[in-house]
Amino acid sequence: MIEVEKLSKRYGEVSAIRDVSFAARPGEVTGFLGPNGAGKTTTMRILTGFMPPGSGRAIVAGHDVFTDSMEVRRRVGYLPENVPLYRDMTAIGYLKFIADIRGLRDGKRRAQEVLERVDLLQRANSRIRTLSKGMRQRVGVAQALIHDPEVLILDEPTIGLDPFQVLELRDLVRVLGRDHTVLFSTHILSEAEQICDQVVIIDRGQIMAQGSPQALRNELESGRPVVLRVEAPLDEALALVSALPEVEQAGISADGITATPASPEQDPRPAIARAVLERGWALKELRSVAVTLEDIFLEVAGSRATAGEAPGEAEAPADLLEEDEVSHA
Amino acid sequence: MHSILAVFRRELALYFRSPVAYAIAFALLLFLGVLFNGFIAQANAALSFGSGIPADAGFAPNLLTFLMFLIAPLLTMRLLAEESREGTLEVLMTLPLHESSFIIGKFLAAWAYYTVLLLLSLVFYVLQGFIGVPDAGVALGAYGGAWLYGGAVLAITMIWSAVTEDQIVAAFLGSATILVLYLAEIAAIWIAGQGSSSLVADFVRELGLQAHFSVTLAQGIVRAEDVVYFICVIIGALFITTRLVETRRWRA
Amino acid sequence: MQDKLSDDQPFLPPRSLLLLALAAGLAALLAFAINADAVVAWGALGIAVLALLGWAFTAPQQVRAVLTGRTLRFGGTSLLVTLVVLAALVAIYTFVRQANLSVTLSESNEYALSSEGRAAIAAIGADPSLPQVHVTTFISATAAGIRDQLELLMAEYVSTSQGKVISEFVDLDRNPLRAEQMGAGNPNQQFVTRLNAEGQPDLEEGELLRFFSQDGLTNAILRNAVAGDFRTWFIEVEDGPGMNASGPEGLSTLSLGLEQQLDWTNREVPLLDFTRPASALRLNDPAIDGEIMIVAGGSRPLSEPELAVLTDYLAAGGKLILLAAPGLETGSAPLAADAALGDWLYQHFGLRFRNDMVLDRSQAFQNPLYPVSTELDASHRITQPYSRGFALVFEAPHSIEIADEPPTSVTVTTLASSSADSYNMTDFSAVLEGNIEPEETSLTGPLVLAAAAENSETGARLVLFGSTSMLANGFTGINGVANFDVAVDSIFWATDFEDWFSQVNIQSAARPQDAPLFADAQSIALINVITTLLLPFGILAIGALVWFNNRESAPQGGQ
Repeated sequence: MIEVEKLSKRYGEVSAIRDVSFAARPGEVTGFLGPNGAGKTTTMRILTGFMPPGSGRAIVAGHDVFTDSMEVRRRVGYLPENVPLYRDMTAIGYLKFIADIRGLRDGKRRAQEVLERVDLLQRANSRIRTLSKGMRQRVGVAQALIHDPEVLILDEPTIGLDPFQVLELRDLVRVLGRDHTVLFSTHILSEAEQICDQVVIIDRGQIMAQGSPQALRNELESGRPVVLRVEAPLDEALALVSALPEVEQAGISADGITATPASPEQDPRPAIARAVLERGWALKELRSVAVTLEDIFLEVAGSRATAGEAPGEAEAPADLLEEDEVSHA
Repeated sequence: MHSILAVFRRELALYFRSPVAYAIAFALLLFLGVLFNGFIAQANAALSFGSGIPADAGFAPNLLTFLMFLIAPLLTMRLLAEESREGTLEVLMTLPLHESSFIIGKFLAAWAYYTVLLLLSLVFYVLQGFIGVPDAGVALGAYGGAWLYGGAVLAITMIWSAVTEDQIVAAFLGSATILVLYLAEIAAIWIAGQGSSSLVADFVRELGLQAHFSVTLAQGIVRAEDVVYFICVIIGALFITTRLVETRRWRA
Repeated sequence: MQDKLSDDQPFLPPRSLLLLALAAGLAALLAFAINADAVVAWGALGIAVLALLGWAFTAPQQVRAVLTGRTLRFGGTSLLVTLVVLAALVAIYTFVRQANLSVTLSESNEYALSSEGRAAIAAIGADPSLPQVHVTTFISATAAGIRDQLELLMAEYVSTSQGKVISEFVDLDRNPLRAEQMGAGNPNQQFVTRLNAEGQPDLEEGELLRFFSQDGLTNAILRNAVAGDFRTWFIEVEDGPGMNASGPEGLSTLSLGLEQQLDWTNREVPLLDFTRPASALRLNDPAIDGEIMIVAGGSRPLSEPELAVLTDYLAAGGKLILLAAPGLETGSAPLAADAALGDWLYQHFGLRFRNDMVLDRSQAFQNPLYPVSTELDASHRITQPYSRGFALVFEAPHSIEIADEPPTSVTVTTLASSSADSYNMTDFSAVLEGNIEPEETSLTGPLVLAAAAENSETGARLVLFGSTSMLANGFTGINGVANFDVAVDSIFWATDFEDWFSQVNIQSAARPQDAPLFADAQSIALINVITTLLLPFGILAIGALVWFNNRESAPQGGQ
């Protein structure tokens, strides 16, 4: 259980996070979504007791991270970003070391158990420096799991992994989410959607939105343009779509025909499909324009800006453009 | 306690797995060995001229304390600089242990390795026992003193490892600090020679390491103030190191 | 927290109290370091504590925050706490330093009292009749290391002597006047003296030790505590060489040596002064540690009262060195060979001078008038150290006649005799004219030229030397000639000075640890192999093995 209330943290003059409030429930995987520099790592570091909050309150596993740091640390498993490990130790040796520090009885057995859980038992005696990136990531997860914590906090666990390893890790997180409170940060929306029961979106230190991934997606996708490809003359199809009352306007794009809905509440796709089929054309594709992270952030940030609530430093686009290559990776 | 022990065990194992530790022991023992043979030859020659040289129980500890400005930084530069560069410090600092625990654990490991070095150098005392009569009291004082001295020096150099993430910089600064503290006695003589107040000279002298070792412990005189000096330096340096590591929480 | 404070600000901001505590603490530290004024130091420490308490009272929430909260670890508080901890450590160190506790594990004489020194100093401490001895050790910051050692050693002297030895350290730079008074110019010199009536170090009596050695210091302390009263009576005689005369005939070397190096009291007096009622001079004074009467030369026989003084003195156990004047100068009436004195000596001690002159044409120094004796008695205390390789040179000496049967309880020892080629002459005028052919009545060598007699009953001791050349300045410092040394040793023997001196002159035994190192070729080879090959390369090999094993165990996987 994680409860965060109005958490703020400043580094000198720069505000890292501001009035962050959210909750993560046991038995759920909570995705912490945001671009680099949004405040994900800062928040997680506060939650794990690595650094104290500037103000606000955070209760993790029933203890205040500020006044009761040790108790929190005992109950939290943490995988920092970039998975720092002692490269010169063996996997089992490292886990045994962590178990000893945590004062677990029977550390060796615990270490073997978690290695088995992350499916690395066969490499238990290999030095960590010889392990692949994915294996190291799993050693990191094993480290976070070794004391069977109530709360598991994973900072960008899938970054830098190949697609297969990413799938493996996502499965692992999903499984862990069944009996732990898992807080899991990522900047990839689809990842959050796949494995999270709840998503918290953060940007420039502030919570933008939170809710189940499906709800978020629906909310964000509504009112978005749709793309249509049909087996028919382009101008006829364009005319047909433009004439529909659900469509405000339509144009030709590289993908096909792009139509903007007349109102955000109403999805124009059923109407378009009906119209196409009535003409007897073959419908090749009809989809909403893909919602990318950038879109969401630009949208949320834009709406905030118009509402006059955005933080003073509003040079956001530059930040977000940097995000491109990462999100495509 | 268990966490100190866990850190201690890990670091100590690391020392005995690292080639650097063996290289240091090799270089040190070879150096001492060559000097020792020179010393024996000199003693033999002196005897043939009539006035012999008595056994020097403090042979190895005296040299070892001098060489600490080279050895200690090599032993400690890694301890914290590497952790913070590799990011493993973040893991340690979110585990349920106080900073002081792993700093003490790491320090004790370095000290234990140094103790092994010191014990190896006992061979020079034992060998002198076969060809002369080394003073057991002096040996006890000098080896015990060198042990405390080493602890203090290791604790001081460890501060630099906490200050910077760059091991080379840490080693360099550590070496310079120890050299300065080693030479404080000579500086004190120089200050006294300048005709200024002997108070300043005495202060500088007592701040340094040698004033608490070479004239007392190394000669088999155990002065409470010297023992307390080394212990205080160890505690003080470890405390500062702990503080420095802790500041990472709010600086980082 | 800042906000809370501003609500009800005390008249003194709590933070300023903290600063005050810090400042006072530093001041106390400095004062302790200077060690100049303990009152100031304790006062400052008191202020620091009060300021801390004041802070605790005026701002309890700050105290609680510092002690329990995380503010302890963050921000400026961290620095402050660090400073407080460091100050506490320095305070502990300073406190321990004041306590001056130490244990000396080494047995080395440099740093700890040797067992001999300890016994001697403890004996001084246990004797209430002895005065206190003040030791001033001159120090300098330029030689601080040795100073530390001397401080420990002096503390041991003070405690072993139960306070009879008073130790004081004087910084040469800070108290140059004192150094000048005591003649010290370098650090680690020591001035040892007894306390005078005013309880001050007696600057006139003491001695400066120019180089530090433990035995030297111990002996200086002993000498100053147990200053012996030894007297030499140089008897004024006609044509005698004179106590202070510095010419080749004079005795100044002896008298100055006794006075300056051994602290004896020398007086040159006529024999009759001892009997004159107005005179304060007394012989055979039991209160003094020793006295010796020296009668050197003399061209006139002793008068009857003079002889009475001498014989009374000897009969009461007196010690006498009697040296005959060279025969050529005194002619036929020398003091030593006078019949009245000679008969008395022969009767009571079994020896006397003949009124003659011994000549030696084969074993002589430059000419036959200076016979040389190489036959020195090897068993007697006086000549024993010189019995090999040393010679005595006499100047026209009188020979000594020794009774076949010495009087009861008297032992007579021949110390030195002339060579077999020597002979004596009684016709002084013939010799003066250059005729040194033996006479018909001449005795031939070896003739006794020096002898000692001792009456074990009265304790009287008597040494006879054939000529005053034994004591004269002119015969000192000649290579291989032991005249002066034998004469001084005869004084020491007669007065038992060495017995006394050995009490105040300890010699620490060499410790086994001082034995020099010696390694034979085989040991050297072994040591060489162990220390430069076996040990270092063994470790290198282990290191290589460990490294290799680590390599091996690392699987080939990974990237």
